[in-house]
Amino acid sequence: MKHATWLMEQLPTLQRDGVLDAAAVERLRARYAEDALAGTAISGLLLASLGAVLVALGLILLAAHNWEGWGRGVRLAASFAPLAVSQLAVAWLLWRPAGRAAREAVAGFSVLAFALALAMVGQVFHFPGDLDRYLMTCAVLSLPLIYLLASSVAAALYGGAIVGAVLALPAAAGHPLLVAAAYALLLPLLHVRGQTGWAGGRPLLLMALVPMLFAAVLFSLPQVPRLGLWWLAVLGAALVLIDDRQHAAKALWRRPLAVYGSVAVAVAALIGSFADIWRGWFWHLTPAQLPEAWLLLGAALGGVLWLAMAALRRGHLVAALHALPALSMALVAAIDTRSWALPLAWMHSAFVLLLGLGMLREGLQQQQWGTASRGLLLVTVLVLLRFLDADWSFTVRGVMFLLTGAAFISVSLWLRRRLQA
Amino acid sequence: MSKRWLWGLFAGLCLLQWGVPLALVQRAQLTLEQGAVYRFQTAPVDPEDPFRGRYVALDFEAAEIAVPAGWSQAPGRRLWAPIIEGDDGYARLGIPQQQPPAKGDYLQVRVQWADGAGSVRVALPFDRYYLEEHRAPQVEQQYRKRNLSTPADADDPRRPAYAAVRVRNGYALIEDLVIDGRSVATPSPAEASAPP
Repeated sequence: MKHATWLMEQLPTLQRDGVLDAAAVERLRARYAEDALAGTAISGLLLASLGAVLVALGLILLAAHNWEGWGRGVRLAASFAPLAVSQLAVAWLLWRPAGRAAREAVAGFSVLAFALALAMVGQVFHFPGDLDRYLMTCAVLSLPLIYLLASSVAAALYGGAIVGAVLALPAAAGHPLLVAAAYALLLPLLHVRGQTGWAGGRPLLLMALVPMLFAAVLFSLPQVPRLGLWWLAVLGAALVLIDDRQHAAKALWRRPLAVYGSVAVAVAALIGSFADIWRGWFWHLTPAQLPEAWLLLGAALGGVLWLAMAALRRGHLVAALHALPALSMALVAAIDTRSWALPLAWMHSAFVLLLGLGMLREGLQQQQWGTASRGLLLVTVLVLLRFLDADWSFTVRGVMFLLTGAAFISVSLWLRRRLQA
Repeated sequence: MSKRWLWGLFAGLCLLQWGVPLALVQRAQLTLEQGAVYRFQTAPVDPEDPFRGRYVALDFEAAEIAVPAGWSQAPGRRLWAPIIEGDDGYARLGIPQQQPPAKGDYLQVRVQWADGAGSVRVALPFDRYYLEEHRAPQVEQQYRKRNLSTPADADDPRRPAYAAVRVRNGYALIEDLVIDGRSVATPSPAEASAPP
């Protein structure tokens, strides 16, 4: 986008200097104008949304001062006033549709105006600190707004409120299935965003929502570290495989699913490559919660395996490989792994090595410098972790680090030359 | 979505956005007007809520209930506890039950922990009293100062503080917080002149 904007600025000069003729300038303008405009549109969108959210937060802070000099009725009326204003603004937008920046700003303000009204009722009547119910109520009532104004800002606030509600719940009271279902309610919006192209903001929305989904489900799972690790691996694999299914030939920064997914799988597998993980983690079972956690993780694993098979049929071996840690963690999730700790750690190390080499090979074959570098980086991280793991002296470790660093630089230079050739 | 659907959705949204807080206001107003008053002994401290402002958090003696040895419930479980008024005029809670008691006032409580040795700690449906930004820390400081300078008596050095709570059909709201005989809703001359 930045380059497209720069190119648009350069076109008149290039035409004046005779570098390009008028027809070429028009063709370039037609080709890149949309990208350049998308950048400006997104900046305007973010500024308008941020402004509206800040105004609403300012009102919340003003009300939080708790103006004791005002009577109960006056304070209630004052807290409902922003809600009334926001509803009038929504009605105006329905009556006379405006640009996306206006819709996002009004939606963000409207979600927070309701949160303000509800908070002030709690303040005036000294309601108890049930933050989980409060945030869940705000989230549920922001859903109609999300679809009424097709708003990403309202969707992001909804996702954030769910994370907050799950965090505020007492331990062992989380419902991972309900949390996952709450995020699934945003799928139609993501579908709409996908149809309206990059400027529609789907990557931006996904960038915000994916970490929220991960955190909310993680905190609603029983507090068993192994389940958390399995969730990281299975969600990561699902994201990579969904991205692969879309045949996205776009730049990586436009593909948040691929970025988040591959990082999640790599982190899960690297954690699994430490033997202590499989020795020292014990189960602290909370039976009421566990079936729901199993159901969610099992269903996610089923989906991942189905997607992996489909990727294999398309010949996308590296994408399918991402499903392996989720599978291995599922197989050992319910058993005492203390006597299997070392083989399990080796297995996960082998997986990271395989994945790194696979990405390197794919990058070379398809002449993608980024993919090859990421593969190389993965192998290097694995090697460094094993050095930290090993019981060697500082001198030996220092020499090994120097050698690995030199090897990394050499291979990276060789790769670049080969790809350029 | 067609225009008609959009307007329908908008009407539903407006109804909910006004209906939910107004229903809470109505229930609270009815409780304050018609609920029975109980006094719960408490001690105030001063934290803050990111949305609702500054308040004094209340640590109630009634939140710890004596139960038979071996009595146990999972943390987070919601139960109903009957309110018993003691001879000293302060309210206490009876053994929490699975259903609301048929007679008398009661509170819905959430189990925090049960040690299985005759005691259960519950979260009460009132735990805070909101005050103006600068007043909440003042109230806590005044309470501490008075405790240090003039202990109530040798057995319990704390100055008496209690919350007047209105209860109606199991729903409870704090009406007033009284420390050492004075309502915190009206600042003392010392509090009023103290710097913020």
